[in-house]
Amino acid sequence: MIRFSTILLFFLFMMMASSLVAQPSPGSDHVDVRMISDVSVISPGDSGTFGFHMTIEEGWHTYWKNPGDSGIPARISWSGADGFETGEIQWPWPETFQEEHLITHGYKNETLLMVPFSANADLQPGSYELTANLEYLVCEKVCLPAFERHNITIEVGNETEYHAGNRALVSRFTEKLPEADHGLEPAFTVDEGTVLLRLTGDLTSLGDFDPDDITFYAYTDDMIEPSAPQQAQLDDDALWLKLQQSRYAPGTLTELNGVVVIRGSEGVTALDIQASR
Amino acid sequence: MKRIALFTALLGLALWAWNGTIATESASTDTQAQVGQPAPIFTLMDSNGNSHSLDDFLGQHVVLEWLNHDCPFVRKFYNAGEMQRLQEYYAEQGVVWLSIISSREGEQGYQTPEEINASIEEKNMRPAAVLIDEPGEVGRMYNARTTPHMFVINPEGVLVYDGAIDSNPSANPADIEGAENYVVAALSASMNGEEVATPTTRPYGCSVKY
Repeated sequence: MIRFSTILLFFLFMMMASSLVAQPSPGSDHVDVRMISDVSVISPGDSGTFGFHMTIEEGWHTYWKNPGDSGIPARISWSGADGFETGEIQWPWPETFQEEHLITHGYKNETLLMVPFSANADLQPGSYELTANLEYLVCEKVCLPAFERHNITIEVGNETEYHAGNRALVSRFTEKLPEADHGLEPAFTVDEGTVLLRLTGDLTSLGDFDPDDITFYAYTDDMIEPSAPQQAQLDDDALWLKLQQSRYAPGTLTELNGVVVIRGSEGVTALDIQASR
Repeated sequence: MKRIALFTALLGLALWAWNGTIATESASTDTQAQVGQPAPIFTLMDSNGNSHSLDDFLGQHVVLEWLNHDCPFVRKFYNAGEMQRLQEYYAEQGVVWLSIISSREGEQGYQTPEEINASIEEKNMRPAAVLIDEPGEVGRMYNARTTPHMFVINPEGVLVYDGAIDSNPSANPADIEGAENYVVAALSASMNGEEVATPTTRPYGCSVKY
């Protein structure tokens, strides 16, 4: 009798445990995502940064905002965020991946997707739980989608308090965001699908680099062809980049927005480029 | 104004110099599929050993669907029954739906003819045929990048759509509803004798495993 009830209890426990474990949206076995906030307490009207810290298994990668020839960027939808404003994802500069015959843009090893947020000025002090529904794709040779739910509790109080460790993490990756304040003047022309981008100004601030170490990544998939070879040339006061217009461009480009990544000998410089013609 | 003119002249000069050095790229485009041009003719065997040529279907609309059942983006549409629904609906409208597998043997998505037929039955697929494109010649001819990657050919044999299945690049089946299906839009327009409003889009999915 004891045995029977023990078995029954065991099965009951197993059923409960499995229902607790069962998630409607499976995460990834190849990426570990930790959601963080750089503030532990936020004062109404103040702002902070959420981060999705991705630790990516060797050989696998996730995608940048313009994933290139294939792939999909991460998406976030929020619930329970009433009283807070959440912004767009801020993407650190990407790397280039060759996937079979395709070229893609993304992250290996580690990245931090950052989302600025603020607490509304009329928010009452207390504890608030926000839920981020995160969707992303991770690929090696094959691709697997992940659908994850991340909860975070934010205290609203009189004075904003920072979380030192998370703040350091955010600032480490903020350095990898494209820099808008670089002082270089962009301009471009398009001739039969060949895009020539010119950056003029003081190039000494960019440090030592080889033109072969420069890559332009367009912010959207309808501007530049990811798999087309790129060429860079330097002259006295200008950096020239030869790119190919995307086959998905709606017509001859009138705007060119993206990031120029220079992998120099002293580190990486990422320049935000906003050019119109 | 003077500076702009000078700059334009300089850019033009630079372009000219550059083009002079690199003018030999991107040849041999006549066998490549291009929207608005006759779709390249091919002949492939299906999973039952029957041969199909694109020539056979002049006078009918043809849909080409690049297929890999192990790809999550393909599963998104088959698990929801959406791909089968479209195949069945358009078969009734006289459209020839050809699903093409270009996966190399040993790569994800490769299936033997028997495995293809088992999938057809198990998933209740309704294409006119599942074609075997090993080692990927037809895929390369059409520059099929992903699974799914969709093409629509009109009764005159002209390619009228090349791109994604719909407007929401996602692996989430919940996103099928609410997305604009570009294949449906292209077929509807073409059947009504109208221009296809969105003839080219970036396909999304898994890379074709050539």
